[in-house]
Amino acid sequence: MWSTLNINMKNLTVSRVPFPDKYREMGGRGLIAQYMMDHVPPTCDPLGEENKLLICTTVFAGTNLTTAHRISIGGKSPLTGGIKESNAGGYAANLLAGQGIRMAVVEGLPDTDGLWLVHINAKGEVALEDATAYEGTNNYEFVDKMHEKYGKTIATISIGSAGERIHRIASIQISEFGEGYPSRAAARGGMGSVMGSKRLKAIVIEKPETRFEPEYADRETFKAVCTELNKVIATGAKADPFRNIGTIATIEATGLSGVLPVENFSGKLFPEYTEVGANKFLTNLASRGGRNKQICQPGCVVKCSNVYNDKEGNYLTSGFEYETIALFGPNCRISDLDVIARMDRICDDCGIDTIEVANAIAISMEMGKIPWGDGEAAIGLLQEIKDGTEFGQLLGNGCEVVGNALGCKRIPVVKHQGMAGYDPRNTKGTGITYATSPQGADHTAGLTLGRAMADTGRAAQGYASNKLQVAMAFADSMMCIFAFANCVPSMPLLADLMAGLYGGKPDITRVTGMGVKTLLTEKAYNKMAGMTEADDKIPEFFKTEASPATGSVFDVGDAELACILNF
Amino acid sequence: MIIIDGKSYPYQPDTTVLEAVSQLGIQSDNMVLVVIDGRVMPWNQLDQELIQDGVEIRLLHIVSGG
Repeated sequence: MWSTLNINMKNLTVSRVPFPDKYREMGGRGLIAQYMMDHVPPTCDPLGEENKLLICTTVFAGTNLTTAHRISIGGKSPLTGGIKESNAGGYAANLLAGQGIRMAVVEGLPDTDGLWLVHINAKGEVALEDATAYEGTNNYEFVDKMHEKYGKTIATISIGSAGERIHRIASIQISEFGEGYPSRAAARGGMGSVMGSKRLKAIVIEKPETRFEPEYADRETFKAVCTELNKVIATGAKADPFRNIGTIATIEATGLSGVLPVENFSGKLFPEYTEVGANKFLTNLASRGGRNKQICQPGCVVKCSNVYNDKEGNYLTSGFEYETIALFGPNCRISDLDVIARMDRICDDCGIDTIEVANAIAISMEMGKIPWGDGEAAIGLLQEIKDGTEFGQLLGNGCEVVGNALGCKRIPVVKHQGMAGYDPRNTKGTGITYATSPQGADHTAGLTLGRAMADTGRAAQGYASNKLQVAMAFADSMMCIFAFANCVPSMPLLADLMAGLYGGKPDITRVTGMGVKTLLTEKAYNKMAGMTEADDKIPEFFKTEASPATGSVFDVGDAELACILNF
Repeated sequence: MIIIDGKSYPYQPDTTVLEAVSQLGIQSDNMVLVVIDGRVMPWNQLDQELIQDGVEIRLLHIVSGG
């Protein structure tokens, strides 16, 4: 039987209790949505006693479905003020599932000063331990210390100094499978600050002596379908640029079309994007002993991850992704991939959302605080976050805070959350997703690039956003969206898997319904938290400033946006 | 001969990359990356680059973003 790990930071206790049957067929984003609705008052203070931090595995946890061991971390976001699900790869969900843990619930605030971590040993025993010795320790050093103490077959879920300081854009870093670098980020929405508010430094999970096995309604059918679906995904992944290059390949699609953000979403083109593009990346990997086609969790067949080394061939960062490169790169007019890699490392180390802080740095450049394109000055600003300076405190609370402090009129946020690496004027469906997703400006909630007619046109963009938002809502309950993208032609097999694991008939509406229900629950939660249609808005400058690259503005009206998630 | 996605095709001199991949029904499209001997060719240059005899071309289809 699956367990819930209850971590009570008020009583300073940790215990395992049976996982509630009502959530049996839920996981990841869907589980977070329903659990929040059931147990977390929508009007609570995100950094207060009543908010909970939820750490969930997927609906297919414990099985051999490729990428079923994504981790979803959620709660009420101190950044958006609404519901948040932030997911990542890495090894932790695999080991949580192996330990028979379907979700962890962190609740309450300690009455005393201190810092704690939860340790789950190889026998499955759980303990809340004093972690004051690690106060101020950033993620890389922390993981090294955990490896010294417990060996390398562990996974860690940790916050760095940004989370301890309760910065609203603090991430939670998950260690990747293999070397264990803390480079997989549950980054969006400030879940790291929720963890920090509860004075929980980390959860450290040892590989279990005996791996937990879920109960199958029809094990043989499940296994046969799983094998078939894994093959479908693996076949699709062979022609996927993410496998062959990495997610940086996306810049080859966005760099020439005006979708790539340039100079704080000016809408211009940046011909130097090739200096931070796929070819430069591959050259640097090959000449320095770096690697692509890496997995972040066991059993992944997409293999989109990478290890990026510096000029001397020493490890610099891993999980070096498009969003980070686009937003620290062309959006700041920085054209040095090594500088951006150093920035990625700093963010993973102190535990901060690269998308959010890169937007803040672009705004800082626009307002003249540092020059455009000055990579070393940008690194200096990140160091200010680590050092806790006055401006560092602003940066640590997101690009809207920085923009308002500096008097910037062009702040690319929706629901207070910074936009990802896609200019909404030139991928309007993605702009519709940014505006209407309960998650705020979140590209993973429904990226429509290339999906519906012309990206700068309006035809079918709303339709594409609606369909993709539903798809992503159930995909984020099941697996990695990159694997999901490669299984779309065989999507009915997901229904077969649900039946094989949970019983009942294979029915695709059981899968698609998961997505609709999740979205409706999230919307309802946000409404009760005080959000209105006024929060479903793209910033004004995208509507009035035409993109110089294409002449396009974001011209989807409020009435149309109001209809997108009306099911 | 040239190789496109593992299949061999006769080499035809003075053929652009765009013409070569168009034989397979591929339009110039930023959602399809054309990789020539391991290097990504920007899609706005496909009609300017001539293919060479023995070249290996791979077509990678962007299905997601992230």
